[in-house]
Amino acid sequence: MTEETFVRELERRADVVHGAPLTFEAVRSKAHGIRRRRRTAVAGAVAAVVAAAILVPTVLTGGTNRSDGPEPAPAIPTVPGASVLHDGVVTRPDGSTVPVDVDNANVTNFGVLTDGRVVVALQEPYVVRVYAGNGSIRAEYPVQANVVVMSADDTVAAWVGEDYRTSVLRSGAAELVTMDGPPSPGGESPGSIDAVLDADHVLVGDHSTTSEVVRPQGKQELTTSEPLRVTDVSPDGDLWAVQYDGGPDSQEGCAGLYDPETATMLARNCEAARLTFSPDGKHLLSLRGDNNMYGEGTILDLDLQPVGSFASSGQGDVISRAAWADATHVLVARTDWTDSTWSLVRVGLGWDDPEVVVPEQAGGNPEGVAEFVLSD
Amino acid sequence: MTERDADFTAYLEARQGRLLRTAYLLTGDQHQAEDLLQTSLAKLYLAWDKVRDRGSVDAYVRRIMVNENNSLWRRGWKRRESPTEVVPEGNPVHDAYDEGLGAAVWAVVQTLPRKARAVVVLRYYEQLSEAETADVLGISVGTVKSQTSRALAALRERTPADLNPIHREEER
Repeated sequence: MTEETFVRELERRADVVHGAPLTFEAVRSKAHGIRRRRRTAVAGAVAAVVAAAILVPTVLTGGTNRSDGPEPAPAIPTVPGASVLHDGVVTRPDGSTVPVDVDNANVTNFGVLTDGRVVVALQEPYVVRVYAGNGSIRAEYPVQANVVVMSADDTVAAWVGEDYRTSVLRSGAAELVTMDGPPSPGGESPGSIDAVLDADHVLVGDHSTTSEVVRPQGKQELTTSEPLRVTDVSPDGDLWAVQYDGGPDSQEGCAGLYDPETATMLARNCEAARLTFSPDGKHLLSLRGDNNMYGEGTILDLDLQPVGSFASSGQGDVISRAAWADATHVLVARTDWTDSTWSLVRVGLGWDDPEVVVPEQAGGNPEGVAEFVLSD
Repeated sequence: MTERDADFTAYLEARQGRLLRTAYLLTGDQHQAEDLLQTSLAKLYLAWDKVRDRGSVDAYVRRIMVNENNSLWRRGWKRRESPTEVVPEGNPVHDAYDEGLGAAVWAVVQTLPRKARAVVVLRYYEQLSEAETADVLGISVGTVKSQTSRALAALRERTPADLNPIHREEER
């Protein structure tokens, strides 16, 4: 048996295969079906909420630039921009507010579900607290890790519960659902929830590598082309922003854009970190530096090439937090650690045309508090 | 039709014949091959803007096809096939040109595990290099080499002895 026999037989078998030609319409119709299946069951309800949020210009968003013109590709889902927690008030992208009785110094992070509930991870008590749309406390859950991870469309919040299991709170659902927990990196330390694809698919790992998909039926090993940690998922779920080991010369590792469908790294950038997708999935925000003291912020395209950037002058001016306001604007909480002043501005994709949302004001030491916490 | 869709349509018309044949070799069934191709092309269409380098589209769609064919979901959906050490019995088709060797080889190909079969199809039908095959499958070159070697060994072992060219050479 030779390779030539093999080649000849495969070619002979293949040569007689002739199917009815596939038309463009047939392929596109199938594509639309795939797109629909990928969306969560609650996408319809979400779309209405999101559309309302996008269409109402507010002081925080200034509206959404959707000057795309006719778009032949299947519609790309656009997800809500960031909400802002400041002085005990959450201001949502549509301008509506929710009073929440928390001190920012006690907040790790938070998210806003599409049903209006605010999910806050706290330091003391060490819990995840859920507020109703009117600000009343709905529930409080002890946790192993006080970090809330939101799905891209804000329909699901997840965290590691006190019992080390993955707790999932779905928009519109009163009760938690729990699933298998993430793998522990060792000892009694809990693993990490890296990304929430939807209520039934949560990516988990050991804080350095995303290794499993947790589902209601149980865990499933995640196979990737190389070790990586997922940091964000695009609004349509097609792409993952990831972090991976860039070798000894790379302090913060490297960032990449990963296609899970083909298990391919589409783009790499070792000057980027903590990537998050824009609400339309066409750009990414990179933040480098220490938490609450980022010295570099960059907006990247899907080739991970810079579109606009900020670099600290080294005189105390740093980024405390930054997040997407809408598809073409980033909200930036700026602070100066030399005099503890704070401001909130909105910049364009080129990190230009800054628009002051909240003027500079005195605040706490950025080493201990983020005066403006932006939702995940 | 927009420029994007015209671009995709040109690719579809130019390449679908060849891709269908690859899908057939991967699945061993024409209906499954047509379904696999349509699904893969639909996914390619969704990702068309991401595939900036038009020279790499073939590689991209091959990856989709292989992954799709290997996926648990599809295996669950298809009739339950499992690799076997035994060449299926039946009335072998003895092709006149090679006294049935081709049919025997094809029967053996169909018993290979899905991933090994993908390696064989990419290496010997698509004529990809070991590195290119590794890239498409997301595995190392070493794995491609070992899978190829195992597949060839399996073919030699499982082909009925009287059809094995080496055996027949010895008889002469």
